Parts: sequence; structure tokens; C-alpha cells
Amino acid sequence: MSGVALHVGGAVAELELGAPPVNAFTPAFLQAVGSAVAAVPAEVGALVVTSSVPRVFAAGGDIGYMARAELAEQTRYVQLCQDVYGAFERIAVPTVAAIDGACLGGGLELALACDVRVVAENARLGLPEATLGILAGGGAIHRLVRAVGQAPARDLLLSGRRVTGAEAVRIGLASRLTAAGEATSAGRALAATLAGLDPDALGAVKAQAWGASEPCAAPGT
Amino acid sequence: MTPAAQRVERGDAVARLAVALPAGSDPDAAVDALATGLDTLPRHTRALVVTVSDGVGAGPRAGRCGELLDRLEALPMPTVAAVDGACHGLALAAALCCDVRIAGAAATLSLPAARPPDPGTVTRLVRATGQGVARDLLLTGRTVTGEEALCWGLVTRLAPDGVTAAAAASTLAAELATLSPEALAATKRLALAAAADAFADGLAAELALWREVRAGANAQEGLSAFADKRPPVFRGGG
Repeated sequence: MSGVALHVGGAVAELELGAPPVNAFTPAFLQAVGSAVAAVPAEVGALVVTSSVPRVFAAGGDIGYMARAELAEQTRYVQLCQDVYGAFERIAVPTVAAIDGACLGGGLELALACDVRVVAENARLGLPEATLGILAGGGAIHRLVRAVGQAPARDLLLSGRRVTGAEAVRIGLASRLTAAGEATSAGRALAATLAGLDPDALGAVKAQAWGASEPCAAPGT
Repeated sequence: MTPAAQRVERGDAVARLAVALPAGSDPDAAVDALATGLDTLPRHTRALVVTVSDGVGAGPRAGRCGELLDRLEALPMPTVAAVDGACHGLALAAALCCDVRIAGAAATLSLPAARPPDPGTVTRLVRATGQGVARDLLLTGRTVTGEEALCWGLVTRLAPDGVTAAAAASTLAAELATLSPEALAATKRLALAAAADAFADGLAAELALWREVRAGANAQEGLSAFADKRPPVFRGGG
């Protein structure tokens, strides 16, 4: 029982996180997430990430594991985090994170690697790593700065402050806001819409948009 | 550690710096004060409150001012700017070097277009707010309120009703001063670099610094305390 399910219906794939109580990112769970992304069929036109755990998207790393494991093993774990989160950027189809609850630490790292974040008013988003004496090493520091700019990024990263769904949309951490409890259905609907568009065009735009933050990016490329 | 010792350490751990240019004052004096403040920052400082007020410019010593602003931005500890009133030119340039900017009810902010902004300020503004509003602020010199500044990312928080930005900044700085200095320093370094580095290099740097920070006693304390459901006690450096 991996706690991760991949449902393919028509042109949409749904990656459902389902490891109660909080979808903690144990190494095995992350491996299962990575395998699910790799198993998305080529004919699918969009991928939506959801959670079947009420009021939780994902609460992040398995702190008990991180407190105990050897440094070399944990370093491999952070490398695994980078690889798995990056898969949501590398996959050619648009990725949507549907966030109906707590989205913290690794949960937000994963969501930041998706193309669109749909958040409910009752969602709570944050990167509390600095308050635990560690840092967000899965790529979230760079992804957050690229998503929202220096101003909100350093405030959120250094204070570990959690923001509501509404504030997340105001600062650009998410781009779509729904009523409480409705992000999952809105995320599925958006994925279905995206899956009806031209996949070659979407793939090209996704790659170009991602590359636009690279220092070598030039206008028109 | 006894509660009394903790209190003393926490009090000492927050330093304060003022960047103020009242009307008619010598701009060079403000630059000198910034230099003195940075030169005399206690080694054990774990968070810095920067109160900024009035404005406008650094005058003929703009080059030296640019170096000082670079130093302010590169400080390893978190910096919190408090904007309680007028904040124009150099005062806003200093605030833009800080990690958190809090505006009070009476805050007004601008970069007067009549003179070039202090060195580094254009880049910092664009990286803070994006191009969308930065060129309006820079080219028109318009003055914005705290609420507008929040919408645009020029500040990152508003002080709660009835609380000055200075008081809110002190409260936040006292909290930040209890956190792990090396975790904060590494996070800040990576976040500043993230504006300009290649993503692949950034990922490698995140992994390398994650490993370095995790190897320290404070990371073990933070993770163990969380797992044990108790508040962590992080040790200061220096």
C-alpha cells in the first residue's frame, strides 16, 4: 500500500495522495509519487495532483525519520525530493496542484513545481523549514523566488509564516482561489480543460516559460 | 538554560539600526550613520531591526552608499525594516535591502524621479516587485501608501491596527532571533542568489547547504524537538 494512486480517465491523469494522517513524505512515499509521474501515459493531456486526506494536501517531510536517519542517507533523501518534485516540471503536459488544506514544507515544494496552483480559502501554505533549524532543500527556495519575487519570498522563507489561500493568490504563490473545500473539483475541471488544448503548443509554452527565468534567457527564445 | 539567561540572550540578540534623513539634514551624515551601524553591529546579533524614515538622497557619496547598501543586504541574519511614516529615496533603498518590510498606518513610500536611485536600488526594486510596477515607481516617482505598497510587494506586511511598524518589527525580530542562525543564513543566501543563478546550479547549492546545515547541532535540536513535541532551543553563533 503505497498511499499514492494514479487514475487515468480520458485525457486527464490524477495523482492522488492518500497516506493519512498528513501525507508525510517518507522516502517510500516519495518513490511512489515519482513512479506515478513516470507512469502517466503518453496520450494524457494534463496531470492534476489531489489529496484524498481531508483538509490536508501534504504536510511535508517525515520529521521523525529526519531526526533519526544518518546524514548520508538524508542527503540522498533530499536528492530524491529534488528529483521527484522536478518530475512535475519535466513532464511535457501541464500539471495542476489542487490544494484543499494544509500544504506545508515538502507539500508546498511539490506544489511549486506544478504549473498551476488552485487553492481553497481554507488552505494553509508555508515553508516552516527554517523554524526547524533546516532549510527547504528540494528546490523550493529557487522556485519560490522565481514564482513570487524577492519581496514575499524572503519574508516567507525566513519567518516560516503560513499564509491563507487568499493571501497566497494575492502574492502570486497560487493563481486561482476557490471557496473552502472546492479546490479539488476546480483543479480537476481545469485539468480537463487543459487536456482539450493542443498538447504540442502547451508543451512548447511550458518549456519556454520555465526557461524564461534562466540567466541566459533572451527575449524571443 | 535558565529562563533568565534566555531572556538576556534574546534581548542582546536583536540589534537596531536607523536610517533617517530628516528635512534639511546632511545626507552624508545618514550615510556615515549607516556605516557606523554596520561597522559596530555586535557579533552575536541574530536579527536586525532597521527603522527607515524621511529621505531623499545620498548626495555626492552615492558610490560609498551603494557599497553600504550591498553590505546591509548581505548580512547573514534576518533583517526587518520598519516604515512608520515618510520613506523616500535612500530610506526606501535601505528598506529594500531587508528581508521583511513592515509598513505602519501612516507610511508613504517613493523613489523620487528627480534624482537617480542609490546604486543597486533599481535591481532590488525590480526583483522585489517585478517589472509590472517597478518602472512606474522608478520613472514617475509616485508616492504610495502602505496598503498599495503591500499589493505591489514593496512591503511584505502591514503592522496590525494600533501597532507601529517599529513595534511589529521588534516583535518579529525577537522571534527570528530565537531560530537557528545557520539555517537562516543559508536560506537567505540561497534566496538572494535565486534571482540570478541558473536553476541547476541553484538546486546543487540547495542540496550542499542543506547537508551543511543538517550536520549542525541546531538542525538536530530542531528536528528532535519537533518529533518530541517540545519547543526547540537553538544556540547562537559568534
